[in-house]
Formats: sequence, structure tokens, C-alpha cells
Amino acid sequence: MKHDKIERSATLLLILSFLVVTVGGLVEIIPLFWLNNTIEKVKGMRPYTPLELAGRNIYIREGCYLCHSQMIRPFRDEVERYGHYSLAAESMYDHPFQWGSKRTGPDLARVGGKYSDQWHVQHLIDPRAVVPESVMPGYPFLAQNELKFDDIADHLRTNAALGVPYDEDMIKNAKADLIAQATGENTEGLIKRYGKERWGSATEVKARDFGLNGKEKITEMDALVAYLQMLGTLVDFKTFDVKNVENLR
Amino acid sequence: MSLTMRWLQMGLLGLGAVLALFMAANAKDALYQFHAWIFFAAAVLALFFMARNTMSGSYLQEKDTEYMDKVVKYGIVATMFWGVVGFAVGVYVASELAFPWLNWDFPLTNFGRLRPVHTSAVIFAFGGNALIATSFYVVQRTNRARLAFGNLAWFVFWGYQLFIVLAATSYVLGGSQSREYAEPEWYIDVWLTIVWVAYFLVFFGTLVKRNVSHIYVANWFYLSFIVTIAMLHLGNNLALPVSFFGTKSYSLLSGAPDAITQWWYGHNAVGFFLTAGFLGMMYYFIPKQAERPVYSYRLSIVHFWALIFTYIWAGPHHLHYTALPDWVQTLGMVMSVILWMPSWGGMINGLMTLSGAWDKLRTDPILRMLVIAVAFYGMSTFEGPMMSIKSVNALSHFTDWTVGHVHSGALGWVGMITMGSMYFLIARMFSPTGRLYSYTLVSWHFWLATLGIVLYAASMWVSGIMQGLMWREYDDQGFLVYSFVETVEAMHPYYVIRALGGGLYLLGGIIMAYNFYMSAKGRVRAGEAELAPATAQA
Amino acid sequence: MTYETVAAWAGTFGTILVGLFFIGVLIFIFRPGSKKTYEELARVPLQDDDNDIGERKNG
Repeated sequence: MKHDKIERSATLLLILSFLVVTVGGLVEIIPLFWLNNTIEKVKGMRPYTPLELAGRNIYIREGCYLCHSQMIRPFRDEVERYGHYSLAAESMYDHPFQWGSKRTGPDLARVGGKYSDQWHVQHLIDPRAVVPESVMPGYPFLAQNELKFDDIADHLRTNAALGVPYDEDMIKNAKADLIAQATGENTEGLIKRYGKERWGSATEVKARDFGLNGKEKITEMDALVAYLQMLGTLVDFKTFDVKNVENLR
Repeated sequence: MSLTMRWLQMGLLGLGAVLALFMAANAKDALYQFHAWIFFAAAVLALFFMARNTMSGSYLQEKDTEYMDKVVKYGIVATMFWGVVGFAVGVYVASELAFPWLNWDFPLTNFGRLRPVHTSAVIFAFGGNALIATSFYVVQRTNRARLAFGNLAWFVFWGYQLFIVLAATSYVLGGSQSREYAEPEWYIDVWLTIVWVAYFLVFFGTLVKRNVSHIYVANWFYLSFIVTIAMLHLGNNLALPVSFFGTKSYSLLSGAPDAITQWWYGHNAVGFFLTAGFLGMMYYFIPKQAERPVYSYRLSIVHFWALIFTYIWAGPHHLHYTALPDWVQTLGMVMSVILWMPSWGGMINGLMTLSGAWDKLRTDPILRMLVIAVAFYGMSTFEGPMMSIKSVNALSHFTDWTVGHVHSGALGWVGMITMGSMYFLIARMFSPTGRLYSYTLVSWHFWLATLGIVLYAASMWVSGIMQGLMWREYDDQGFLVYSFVETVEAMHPYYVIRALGGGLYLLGGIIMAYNFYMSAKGRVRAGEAELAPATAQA
Repeated sequence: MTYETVAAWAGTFGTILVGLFFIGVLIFIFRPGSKKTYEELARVPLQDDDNDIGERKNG
């Protein structure tokens, strides 16, 4: 008899404490999916090209997010230093997000187009050759490592399953598009699938030898620099109406 | 436990080994293959040891009327080992920020890959082993029952070590899902889930079969920690692997919803892993060491429910002024400020448990360690709510101030309460003399660690606030005064001091390991024989 | 359901409800009859012997 009661109270403690700890998460996370003002309505967001996606995965692998944020807050100094404050829409295809939590180095949300490929490659190989005061590690091995992209189509397909608007055409041509973008040759298909015309982006897809190590060789440096060079360049801010109620958060 | 049961377990291990082989054979990348081989080796080793014990029949000698203490002792050794490793890696990465040539520009030694090794080693390897070991110790004693489900506790221990090895090797070899404090890729997450369910079964099963009528409050904290971590782990790690035979996965959520899920996890890794679990430790080991009852049991009940309810809401303060909707940020801020109260409820209860025994602080260095832990807890839980206020956060976010705050909590609260509890357990479980090798060395450890924390926290306050102010400084003409890199340069002296502080803390840990070793050998330091504080068994 | 209705509810009835619940918990915990139980419970860590499970209470 007594035992039954005892067992019940252990279970009761379990159930009660579980209920208590679920509330906060439910209230703060679930509404984000159906409240209409979580993500702004803007033009220009497109999925990452296969090369940019591969570069992004290197960014994640090397732990860049531990020292660089990709989230410009709406303060005068940040907007002047880094550009227009970040919109939720700009990371809506980011699985996972890369907002970061620490700025040991500067924010990278809009680093795209700010420096030349030459600068990025030099800086990644030996940061202090370009910025003497920098405390960033060097990544000379990126220029040596050949990029593995045999399964890049699977990566696009996985993202598509999670809601990123990759269509069959993009998945089928993933490998070809990657090579086209890293060499700057035969880019018509790439531009058709990811270009300005289709998505209304502020800038056109760039295709060239980003890693500056020859077109025959596609390295991790090519991919990472391609990713860095497109960061924050997509949204056409002429189409972003700050005063629109839909965009007030 | 019956023989059939053991055969069943060995069958499962065999199946696991076959699955691991299958994974290794089909692996699409080197890291995945390496890990499949580790899985295989672990399963074969476990099988070997189980078979040996089954043949010798040693398992038959285990009695339900005795505590299952060997697994606790293994846990204490693991805590000590991973503690020293985690602190050492921490000192190394801190030095990399002060002297970047230490990165060697080599993948395995670069900051970006080593930093998760540090955070996982101290939080999950050091903290996690301490929590598992002490929860097994406390739940048996306060409920007067042997751990439930036979040797499942051993599976929890070894399975958890396997998780640590997989996680650490994963980071340096380039497998990370970039979720802070949840970096391991999907298959390691699946493994941790299995281990964690087993942990829950052992702990909860012991509560169910207890031989006293009331469940003591320390167990509440441990239970809520176990259950909540299970929920957070599952929620935050939802991801779709590119292939069942590959490392890489993509998170289910993206952008803003992904960010809030991560920080719902991230902040409550602090709230439940590093706070609730360690409060369980506090509620057992402080009364025990001070030989005083808990100051107010009623307060412990109120602050328990208030704490676990409120903590879950606080995550959004990691995302102030970001692209997360404003209402979530404000809600997170309000709840974070409210959280100050239940936190201080715990602090008051811990400190006031000493009432009537304050004089023991003069003679007992272990008690001193436990008490300063609570003091640091009080300090951090005041600083935290303050930093979660949006206008303060505007300055502190993205700077070292956050890093300093975390470390005053982690080194001060988590580290000190753990090491105090470890000293308590070492004297009782390892030392044939029932006392430590040296209490003077405990005092040395105490002062080195405290000084280390002070250096760490103070240098990070200065560098954090300074950098925050430099970023936003304008001149008379309305131009930004500093370029980003000038603010990096200004950090240098503080990064050196921080590394020094961490070094002192590490030195304390090494002294502790030495003291542990000598105590286990039954030695007593020359000249300390007559110094037998209250810590030695009465 | 829109953001506004949720916010309005949370700011009024929600707050009152949670507040009342909290006060209820306080009253329950601090009810006078429970003092003795809690004093006993506060001594739990001091009662166990380190190495023996000991006699079984309420077994």
C-alpha cells in the first residue's frame, strides 16, 4: 500500500517538473512559426549556390562562428561599420544559423564585396601579413586541400527537404554549377538557376577563380572565399520598406 | 542479476559491434569511418570484459543491501582527469588569443577547432562526470537504496566516456554542427540520447525503489536536470543527415527560429546542467561537510519550482537587438531579471546552512571551497540578470564581458562546488585513513583557484567594457574613432592576464590531482597528522 | 489568434493567474502544520551512514 503511494509521488515529481520546464520554450518558440511578423517581406533572397554552400560548410567546420558574428544590430556604430542592420529574412535559408555570440573579429554579415579575392586569400593564409594586429589563426591548408564535392547534390537535396527552395534542376546540375562558379567558365546554367533575374537579388552571382590557385584546381579556399564574397549581398534594400507594419518587429 | 540477462546484454553488444562494422564499411568520409571503428572497439572491449566477469561469476557477489560505489569512484577519477584536461585546453586557447602564433596555422591546433574541445571538456566531461558520480552517490544515500537496474550504471559511465571521446575527436578532425555547447554531429547526438535515457532510468529507478518515504530535495534538482537536459538535447539537435553513412547534417530549423532554439538550449545548458545539477550537489555536500541541517527546507522547495520554471524563459537574452522578434527579446529579458530571485534563494539557503558553524570556515578548507562556490554563484546570478537588461546588453554583447561572466560562474560556482565535493568523497571513498593526504594543499588549491578567478573575471570586465565602448565611440566630427582592429590590439594585455588567471586555476587542479593520488595511497603529509579537521571521519 | 490578443492576454489574466498560482504554492508550503516535517527533512543528509544502507524504513 505504502509503496504505491511512494512510487506515485516520484512519478508525480517527474511529471510536474517536466511540465514546468516545457512552458517557457513553448511560449517563446512555437509562435515564431505562425506569427506573421517573424520574417520580413523582402526581395532578393536566393538559396546558396553549390560552391557557396560548400564554402559555408568549411566556415562551420573551422569554427569561424566562434569569433565572427553575422548579425548587425540596429545601432548607429554597427550600421556605419558593417552596413544595414541584419534582417531575419537574410538568414532564412541558413541551416544552421550563423549569427554568432562573440566578436573577437569583426562582423561578417555583409563582408561580401568589401575586399578583393586577393585580400581574402592572403588574409586567410597569413592574417598578420595583411593585418599586423590580427589574432586570427592562419588557414594555409585551405589553399592546398582540394574541395570534395562528389556528393554536393545530396547536400542540396537535404536542404530542399528542409524547405530551402532548391528545385530538381538545381539538384541535378549541382556539380556542374559548382565547377562553373569556381572556374568562371560555362556559367549560363548557373546564372539562369541562381541569377539576379530569377530571384531579384541586389547583385549577380559571381563566378571566377576565387582562390586564385588556377582554374584546374578547385580548393577549399575557392569555396570559402566564394561564400565570404556573397555574404549580405542578396537583399535588395530598395524593396525593404521599414515603415511597413508587416516589417515592424 | 540473472545469467540470461547478461547473455542478452552481451548479445546487444555483439549487435552493436556488427552495426559499427557495417557503418565503417559503408562510411562516406574519413571522420565517420574513424568513429565507426571507435564504436566497434568500444563494443568489443565491453563484450570482452562482460564475458570475463560472467565466467568468473564475480557479478554474483553484488548484493542489493550494499551501495553501488565502484561506479561512483570511477566517476570521481574521470572528473579529475577531464577537469585537468579541460582546464589545460582552456589555458591553451586563451594563450592563442594572446599570442596567435600558438595556433601553428594547422587544422588540429587552430582556435576554431580547439575552443569546442575546451568548452565540451569542462562542461560535459568535467561537469558531466561530476554530476553523474555525485548523483549516483547522493541518490543512494538519501534514499537508502542501491542503484536500480544492475549494471546499467556502468553502461552510463562508459557510454558517457565514449561520448566525450567521440565529441572531442570530432571537433579537431572537423566535425561540428556549429551549435555552441552542442557541436557534436547527429550520430554522436543519437549515442548521447541512448546513454542519457539509461542515466534517467538508473536515477529514476533508484528513486522509485527507495526505502524512505520522502524524496530529499537534492534529488529533485538532479531529476529536473536529467529530464530537462534530455528535452533540450532532443529539441536543439533536430537535424537531417546528408547520408546515414556520413558525418554532415543540416539543422531542421533555419535563421531566427533556429537561433532561439539554440539559445533556449544554450542558456538552459547553463540553467540545468551547470546550475540545477550542481545545486543538487550543494544541497547534499554542504550540510554534510558543515554537519548542519539545511537552513530552510521550505525555501528550497519554493526556489526549486521558481528556478526551473523561470530559467527556461531566459534564452532570448542571448539574442538582444538581433533579427529575433522584439517581443521574444523583451520576454526573455523580463524573465531573466525575475530569475535573480530564485537564484538568490538557493544562495541564501546554501550560505545560511552554515549558521551555527561559521567557525568551521577557519579550520576546514573543504568547507571554505564549498562556501566560496555559493558566493560566486550569488555573484554570477546577480551579474547575469543585469547583463540581460537590453541597454546593458547592447554594450556587453559580443564582448569579453560575457566570457568573463560565464567563467565566474563556471570556475567559481561549478568548479569550486565540484572540487569541494570531490575532496569530501576522496576522503571517504578512496583514502584508507579516512582523511586527505594534505589539508594544507587544499588551502593552496583554494587560494590559487580564487586568485585565478579574480584575474580572469577582472581582466574580462576591463577588456569587455573597454572594447564595447571603443566600438561605439565617435569623435566631434561624428566619425567612428576606432577601426575594429585597433580594438583587437587593445585587448592584448588583458588576454595575457586572462591566460595567467586560467593557468593558476589549472595549477590548483593539478595540485588537487596530486593530493588525490597521495590520499588514495593512504599517505599523510609530514606534519599534518595532528591536523585532522572535521573532514576526517568521526 | 494574433500577436496583439496573445500579448493582451499575457499582460492581464495570464499574469494574474500565474501570480495567484505562485501565492497558492507559497501558502501550501508555509502552512503551519508542515513545520515539523520540513525540519526533519532538512536533516536527511546528516542521517545516512556513509557505507551501509542500514535498516529499511517504511520498507
